[in-house]
Amino acid sequence: MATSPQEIKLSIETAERIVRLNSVIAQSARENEILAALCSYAEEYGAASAVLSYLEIDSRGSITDIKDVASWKNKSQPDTEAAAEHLPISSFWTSTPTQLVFIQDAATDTRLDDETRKALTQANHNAAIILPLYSVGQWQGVIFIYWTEKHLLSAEEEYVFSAVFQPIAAAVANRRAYMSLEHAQYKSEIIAQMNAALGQATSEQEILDAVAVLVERYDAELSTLNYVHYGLEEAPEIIEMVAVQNKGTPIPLSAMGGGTRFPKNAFTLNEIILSSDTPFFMEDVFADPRSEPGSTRPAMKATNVAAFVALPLRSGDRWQGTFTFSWPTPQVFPSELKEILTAITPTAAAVVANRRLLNQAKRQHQISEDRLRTVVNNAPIGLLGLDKTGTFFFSEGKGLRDFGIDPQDLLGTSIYNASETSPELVQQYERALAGESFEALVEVAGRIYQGWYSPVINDHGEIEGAISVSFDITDRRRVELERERLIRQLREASRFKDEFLATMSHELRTPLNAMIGLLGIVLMNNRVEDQDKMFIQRARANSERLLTLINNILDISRMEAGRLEITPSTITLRNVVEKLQQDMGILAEQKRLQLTTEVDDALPEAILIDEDALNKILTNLVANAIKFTEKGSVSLQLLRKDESLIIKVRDTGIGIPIHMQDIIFESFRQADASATRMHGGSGLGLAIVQNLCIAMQGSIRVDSTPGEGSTFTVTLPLHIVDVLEQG
Amino acid sequence: MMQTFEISPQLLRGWKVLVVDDEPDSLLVAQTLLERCGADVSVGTNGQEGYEMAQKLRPHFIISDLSMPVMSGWQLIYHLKDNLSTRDIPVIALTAHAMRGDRQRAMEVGFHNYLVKPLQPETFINDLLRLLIDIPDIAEKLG
Repeated sequence: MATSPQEIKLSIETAERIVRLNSVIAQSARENEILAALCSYAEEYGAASAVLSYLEIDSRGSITDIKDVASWKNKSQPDTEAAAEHLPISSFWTSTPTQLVFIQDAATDTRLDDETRKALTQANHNAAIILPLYSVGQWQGVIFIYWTEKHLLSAEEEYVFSAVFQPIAAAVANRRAYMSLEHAQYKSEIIAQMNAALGQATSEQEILDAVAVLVERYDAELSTLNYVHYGLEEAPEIIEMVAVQNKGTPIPLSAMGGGTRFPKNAFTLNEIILSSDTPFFMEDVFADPRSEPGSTRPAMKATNVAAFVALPLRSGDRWQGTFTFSWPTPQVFPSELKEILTAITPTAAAVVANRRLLNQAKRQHQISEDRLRTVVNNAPIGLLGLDKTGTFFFSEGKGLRDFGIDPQDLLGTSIYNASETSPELVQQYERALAGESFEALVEVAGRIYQGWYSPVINDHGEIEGAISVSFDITDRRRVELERERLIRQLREASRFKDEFLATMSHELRTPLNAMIGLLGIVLMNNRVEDQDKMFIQRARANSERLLTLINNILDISRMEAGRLEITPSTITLRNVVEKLQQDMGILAEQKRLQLTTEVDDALPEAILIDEDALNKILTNLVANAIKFTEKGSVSLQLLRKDESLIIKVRDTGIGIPIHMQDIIFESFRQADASATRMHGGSGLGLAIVQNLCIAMQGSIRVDSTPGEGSTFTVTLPLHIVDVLEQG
Repeated sequence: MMQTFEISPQLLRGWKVLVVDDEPDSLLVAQTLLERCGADVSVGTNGQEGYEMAQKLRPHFIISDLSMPVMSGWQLIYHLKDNLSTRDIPVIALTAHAMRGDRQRAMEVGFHNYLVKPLQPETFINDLLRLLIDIPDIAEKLG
């Protein structure tokens, strides 16, 4: 039913209109602009709606699919129906790719197949024009223009549409060719943008948002939950939601009713998804055989998920998490979306992995910082740091709070504020700022602080500031002071005791001096009766006994106080023994005992020894021997054995039972308590002797047979005096 | 062999001896024992008196207590040694201070020697002279 242009009378206006329309078509980049330009004429001819569709063809040129890409509606017609759609693919119109097809009355047109007629009448399209867009030897698309009433095509209309459909076909062919080129570029641009957005994300929410923006672009119906979930280090079988958003709006995790953690194997498919290396697309949960009815489908139904995309995020061989996007209704995912999501998955995985590492590092850092802060905050110390201008940049520690300072208040203030109140403290910091590390005691407001001060030195060896750690040692210091006071007191007490001993010694000896002296003079005067003389002798002897007792008590007191000092001087042994023989000879004679003394020739003339101590040892041992011997003899021997001076005092007295031989050296002990009464004496003599021996690095022992006698042996180190030195 | 001196009224005849002690009984004992040997004994009851008498009498030797009121034996020896006219007079300390170390200290500050109270009346003169015999003048005078 083609009409040749020559057959109609073409008006100037129509011709101009065709030229303009071709110009618009040539300039139009987009399908909806092309369709709108065409339909500005169709509108004049009473058309109600139109649609431009792309046709997909296979390698043999057969049409495989039809897809609407632009539609138009006549706004002046109150048509509430949905936008126009393409007619079914039918040989009725596909068999004539180079000719317009006119349907003037759908109800009566005998060319129509049933399917086409049904499609037309159901949509209330009673007339239509089909413009085949066939160019460069293949189908590009098709335009359907619909009328709601029967429409008789005018010659002009036929001419106009005939004149433009081939240029439109050419334009669409160009457009599609351009689009397929542009599409590749577009995708790579999107992928680049996505990667950039992911790279800049600073939180899980931002990572999710970057991907969700893309998904939303492809489907405005994007709905319900989107989340990234991670396996936890401490429980790899647990998945945790870390970010959620719904249609571009972030949803706080606390608002997730079912909690944010659930087991990895909550439903079977989940495990399959999570072990997959590639994105997982599920367009219809309830139809797809991969989601099995027993486990996955009920789980999905419960969360109102009918379709979802899961991007398993793997970095290396580690599963980091997944992005999941879900829809409440079944979906057909555009291939473009699939391609882009697949393309960005490795980047997303890497970003998420980095993010997790960072989080982990931050968490660990936070933990150690928290620990440090806890320790520092609770430590009973003051921890201060100041820069080289003396301004505090660090201030922590319970010690400061105990002192009544909020550590935060010190930050930014200067140590020089304390110049007036604590000049000492300022001085310590100045020393530290000068490079010195030291320990010092500082008193601040009545409290005593022990502080360690140190400079802060940077990598270049420059002093940047100073730090100090201080302890409040006021209480300890008080204890120390108290202890010092006690020690002083004890020393004083000890000194009093020494003074008391000295005074007692002096005060007891003074009257004894008079008694012994005057009694002696009376006896020497030889003018008293025999009986009186005996009384005076007894008085004299008792005075002597009292003197010995006093001497011994004073000695033992000194020894027990640890105040026995050995002061060696040069002495001549023979003189000492001779003097002893003289003094003790009188006592021996009184008991008719023989007292013999002997000094070994191997012994040097002069030795270095404490004379008082030696005298006391000799006197005590010999006096004891005489005291406990009733008949026989007492002998004193001074011998040399190697580098030792041996003193042997032997008697033929009562002897000492073996079991008593140790205790006789203890203070106030005698072998037999009755001996005290029989023989007198305090029982201190041997204790004194033993103490002196020990003090002189020597020793004493006793060998005794009861009834036969005793031998006391003293061994003392021998210090020989050089003759030249002696001179 | 230790030298022993025969006690007789001739032993110290012509000797001027000064005894300084605040205890009258102690003075009495020492004075009596010395006078029995023929010495010309003067007594002072404290360091001050002792120092004045020492300058006046220029005794052959002095026996002095250490603990005394007004002026102690320690101060007395300081003054005696500080004075040209008295510095060569030997002074024997005779004291009831029997604490260890006193002897050493006494010798260090200038006492010639040291005897501890109570003195033994029978041996006192010998003990005393044995401590003095190392002084040539005295040894010579004793013969």
